[in-house]
Amino acid sequence: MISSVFDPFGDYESRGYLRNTAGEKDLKIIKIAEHELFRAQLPVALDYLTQRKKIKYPDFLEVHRNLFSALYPWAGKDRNTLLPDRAIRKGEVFFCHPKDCQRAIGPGQ
Amino acid sequence: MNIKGRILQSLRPRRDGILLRSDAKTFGSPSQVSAALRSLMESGLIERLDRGIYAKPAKVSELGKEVLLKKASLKVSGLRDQYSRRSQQDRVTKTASYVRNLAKKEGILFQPIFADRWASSVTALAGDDVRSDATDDLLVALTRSGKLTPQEMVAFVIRHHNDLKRV
Repeated sequence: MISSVFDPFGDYESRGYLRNTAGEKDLKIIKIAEHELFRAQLPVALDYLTQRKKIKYPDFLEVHRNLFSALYPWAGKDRNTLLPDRAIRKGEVFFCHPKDCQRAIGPGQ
Repeated sequence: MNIKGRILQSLRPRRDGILLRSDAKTFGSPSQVSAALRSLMESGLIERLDRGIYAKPAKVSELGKEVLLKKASLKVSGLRDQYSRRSQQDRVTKTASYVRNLAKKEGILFQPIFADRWASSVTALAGDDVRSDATDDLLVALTRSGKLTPQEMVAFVIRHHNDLKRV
């Protein structure tokens, strides 16, 4: 049976939603945890960015790590290292291919 | 960013141009916040209207001190009402009691900052509907003030909401 849960790692049943630190599977609770973590860590992420003269790809990764690593230990890792062979989508949103992540950030630098 | 920078960043998007002392409470210890406010006043970047009430100098010139003080007073009573309403609504779990005691011991209160509105917009844009309760707010405030690590905060949030399913 195909799971309707967003599960790019393919181990939701054994490790919870996106391998979160608590192994939590309740998506409602996960969304709350994401939200609270985001608002707690946003000032930290902005502090980091204000210290950069130019924002580059590693800075995007660092901001992601700042914001979410307390819930997702893999946050801030390049998807080309983490899941190089998975082209993923969430609902109707298609994420860029792992090999294109760095290139996708390029125009914003 | 230092405390002065945080205070200014918090004040910048405020349309009413008013900053309450309690708005800056989570940015540092009471003496650090006092020193930062004093320094900002001396630099002319904020103006003191009354005890614990500050404003952007441009707003003071535009609207006058009296109007701003009235607005500040409404803001303070609104915050008090909001806090008491939410405290009544908040169901008490073991985690909620623990967090409330911890915040009391550490002298931490939750005061909304720019990050809360920003996070609400981002969460809504992601299509998620998240309503934080008073325990979540306190956990965020404790983390922002360095009393909890983000990892501890996440563990408490998850435990609290699992507890809520059982009460």
